[in-house]
Amino acid sequence: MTQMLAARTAVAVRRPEKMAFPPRTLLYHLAPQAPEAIWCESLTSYINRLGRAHHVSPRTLVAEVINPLLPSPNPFVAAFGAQAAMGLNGNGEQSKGWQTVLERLTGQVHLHRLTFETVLGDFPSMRILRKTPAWCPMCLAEWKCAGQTLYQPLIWMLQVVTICPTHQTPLVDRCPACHRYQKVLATNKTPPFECTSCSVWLGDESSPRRTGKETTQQLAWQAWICSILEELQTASLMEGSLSWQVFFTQLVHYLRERKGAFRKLALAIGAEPTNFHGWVTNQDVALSTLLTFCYRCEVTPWQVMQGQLEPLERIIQGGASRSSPFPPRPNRRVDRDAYASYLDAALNREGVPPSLRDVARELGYGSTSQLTYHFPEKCALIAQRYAEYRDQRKQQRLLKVREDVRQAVFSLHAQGEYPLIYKLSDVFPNGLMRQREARNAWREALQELGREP
Amino acid sequence: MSQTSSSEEPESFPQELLTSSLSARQAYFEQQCLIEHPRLLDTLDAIVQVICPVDASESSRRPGTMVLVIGPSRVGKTTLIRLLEERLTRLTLERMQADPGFIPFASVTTIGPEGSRFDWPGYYRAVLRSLRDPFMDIPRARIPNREVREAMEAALLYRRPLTVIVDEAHHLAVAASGSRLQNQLNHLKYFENLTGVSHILVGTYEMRPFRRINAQLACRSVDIHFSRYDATNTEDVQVFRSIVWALQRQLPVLEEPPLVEQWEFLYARSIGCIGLLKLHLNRALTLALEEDARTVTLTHLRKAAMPESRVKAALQNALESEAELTESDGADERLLTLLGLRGPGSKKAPEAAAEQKPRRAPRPGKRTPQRDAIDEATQEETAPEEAAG
Repeated sequence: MTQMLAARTAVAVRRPEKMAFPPRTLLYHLAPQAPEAIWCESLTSYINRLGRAHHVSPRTLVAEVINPLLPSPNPFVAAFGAQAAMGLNGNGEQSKGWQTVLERLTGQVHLHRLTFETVLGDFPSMRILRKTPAWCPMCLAEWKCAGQTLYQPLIWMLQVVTICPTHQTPLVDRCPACHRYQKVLATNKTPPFECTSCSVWLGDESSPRRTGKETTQQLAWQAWICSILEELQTASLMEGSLSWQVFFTQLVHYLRERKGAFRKLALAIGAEPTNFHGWVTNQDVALSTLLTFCYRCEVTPWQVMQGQLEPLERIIQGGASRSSPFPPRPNRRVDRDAYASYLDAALNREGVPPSLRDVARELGYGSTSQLTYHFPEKCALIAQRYAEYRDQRKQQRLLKVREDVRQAVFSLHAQGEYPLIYKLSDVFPNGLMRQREARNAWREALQELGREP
Repeated sequence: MSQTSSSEEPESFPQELLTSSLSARQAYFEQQCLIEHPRLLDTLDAIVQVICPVDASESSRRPGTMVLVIGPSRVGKTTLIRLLEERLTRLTLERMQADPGFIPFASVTTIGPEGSRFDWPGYYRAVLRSLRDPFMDIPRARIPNREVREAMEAALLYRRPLTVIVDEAHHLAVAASGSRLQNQLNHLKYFENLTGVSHILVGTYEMRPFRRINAQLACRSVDIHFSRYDATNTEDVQVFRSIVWALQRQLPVLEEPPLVEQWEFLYARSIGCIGLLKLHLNRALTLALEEDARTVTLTHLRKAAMPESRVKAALQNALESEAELTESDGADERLLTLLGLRGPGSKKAPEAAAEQKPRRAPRPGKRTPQRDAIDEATQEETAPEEAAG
C-alpha cells in the first residue's frame, strides 16, 4: 500500500459517469433440465421451477410478469393454470408466444426444446397431451434421495406414456392422499411435487411393479414408444422440426402403388378398412392410433418418413406378428347374486365406508355405470352412506379448525400482540384463514376476549 | 480528465459555466467534480484485489471474504463505492455479455436501526432490489418476512454477484453490542459460506469493534483503512496541496481563488478528509455566489468553515481510531514473544500476557472479591476494649 502510494501522487478531476449494465434479464437465467434428452424438462415444469426460484408461486409469476407481456394476455390466469396451461407443452401458437416471452425474460435460448415441437414436430397437440400432469413416484423418491433437481419431464405429459420407462411402474396422476389431480401451474409456493391441493409429498419408494402377461405386453409397447420418441427427437434436432405430412404422403403413395394394399394392411393389423383409409388419406389421427399402427407393422414413424416401408410388404403378405398392445375389452357377464351379496357386504362394512367408485373398482369396473344400472337401490344406499361419512368428517375437521384458531388467538393475545388475521395466516399456512369457518372462529375468539375485530 | 502533479496544471472548469445560473454553477462543483486522489485509488485497488485478484472470472475470485473498509466520516467512502461499482462493471463486461442473468454486484445502504435491533428483513429486501428482483415492488407478490432471507440467498446464488457492497455498515454496530454484534457478523459470514459472495462493509470508525469480535472473524476478514491525509507526512501534504489546487481550478467563479496558499487553514478545518474539504469549499462557493463576488475569499472560507469544537471532536475520533488501526513498531517481536520464541521464560509468556490483561472495572457499588485490610487504628481501638473485657 505504501509503495503504491509512493508511486501515485497525481490527482485527477473527472465527471462522474454512471456505467449502465448491458441489458440484464428480469428473471433468473435458470437452465432447463436435460434439454436435449428424452427426459427433457417440460415448459410448464420450467415455469413452475422459475416461480419457486423467485420465491413466488408459479401463478404469481405468470400473472404479474409473464402474462402482461404476452401478445394476448389471458384474463383468467388461475383457471388457465389448472388445466389449459398443459397446451404450453405442445406446439401451438400459444406455446410459441410463451416461449418468446420466457426467452426474453430469462435469457435462455431454445426453450422450444421443452415442448413437443422438438419431438413430434407439427403433430396436433390436442391429441397428444394429458389434461393434468402425471408422475412416477419412484423416480421422484430417487431424485430426492440423490439430491437431484425435481422436475416434470416432457415424456410424462404424453397420453400414450402410461408406464415409467425406468421403473416400469404406472405413472400416477392423482394425489394418493386427497385423490385430486395436480394443477399444471401451481397456485401456491409448495415445493415441487407436493400436492397442489393438500401439500402431501407425491414421491413413493415402494410403488408396486406390474406383473402378468398383459403387463409384459404393455411394457414392450411402452419401451417401443420411448425408443420411437427418442428417435424422433434425435431426428428433429438434426433435421429440424418434423412434418407429418411427409409421413402420410409416403404411406399413401406406397399403399396406392399396390392393389388392395389398404384393405389387406388394415385387416392385418385388426383395423376397420374404411377407418384406416380415412385417417391415412385425411391425415387426421390420434397419436395412439398412429403409433399402434406403426407398432403392429414393425416400422417406426421416422422410417415411414424416410420411405423405408419394406416391413409393410411382409405384413400385407403374412399378417402382423405383433399383437395389439391393448388388451381386448372383456365381455363380462354380471353375476347378479354374487354382486348383490358383495354390495350388501360393502354396505355393512365396518370402519370407513367405501365409496361407490371404490366398490366398482374392487369388482374390476372402471366406472360405476354397470353397478348403478343393475343395482340402483343398493348403489344409492352405498353412495348415501359414503356422503354421510364425508359430511361427518367435514364437521370434525371444522371443529378442529375452530379450536385451533381459538387457541392461536388466545396464544397471541397472551403474548401481548393483537391477533390480527395476517398473523394467524403465518401460523396456519395453506390459506386456512381464508375459510369462512376459520374467520368466524377468529371473530368469536376476539369477542370472547372483549376485543373488536 | 486532468491529472495534477507538481508540474502539470490541472484542468479548469468549462468557461461557459460563468454565464449559467448560480444553481447550475453550484451543482457543477458539487456533483460534477469527482476528485480521483491517490488515497482513494489505492483503497479501491486494495478492495478489488481482495475480491477479484487476477481477473474478474468466477474461477479466480476468492469466495467468502469479508472486507471491512473503515475510514473517518466524509473521507470519501460513498465516492469510493461509486468508483468501485464502475470498476466492477468494467471488469465484468465480458462475463455480462456471456451470461445475461449475471449482475456483478449488489449495492445497498443500511438504514439506521429504529429500535435496538438491526432490520435484517429490510436489508434482505434492499439486496433483492439491488439484484433487480421483479417482485419487490409488486404488492400482490410481496414475499413475506419469514421467506425473504431464503429469497435473498436464492438471488445471490442465481445472480452470482462478485460482492455485496454495504454502505453505512457501522449501523450494524450501532444496533448491537457484544455477543449480538458477533451474531450479526456470523449471519453475514453464513451468507458468504453458503453463496460464495463476498461482503464489503463500508463505514466509519464505529466499525472498529468488527475487527476484534472473535478470532474466526478476525482471520477471515480483510481490513482496509481508508484514512485521511496526514499533514505530518510530507508526501501527504504534497498530495493534499495538489487536491486543493485541482479543486480551486474547478470553482466556477470569475477569478481563480488562491486556495493553495490557504492550504493549512483548509487542512485544519477538514482534518485531511477530502469529503470535508469539498463540503467546505462548496459552502464557501455558495456564499461567494450569493454575494455575487468575483472569487472565493478567505472571508467566505472562514464563514463556511466547520466550528472548532466539531473539528476537534472529529479529529479526536480520527486520532484514536488511527492509533488502533495503525500497527505500531515491533509487532513481530511482540507476537514472537507471545508465541514463546523470544525472551526469558518464553513458554510462560502467554500466561504473563494474560495476567497483564486489563481487568474490567467493577460495577459501581460492587465489592472486589478479596479480604479487606484491617485498619491499624481500628485494631488499636478494639485491643484495649478486649483487654478490659
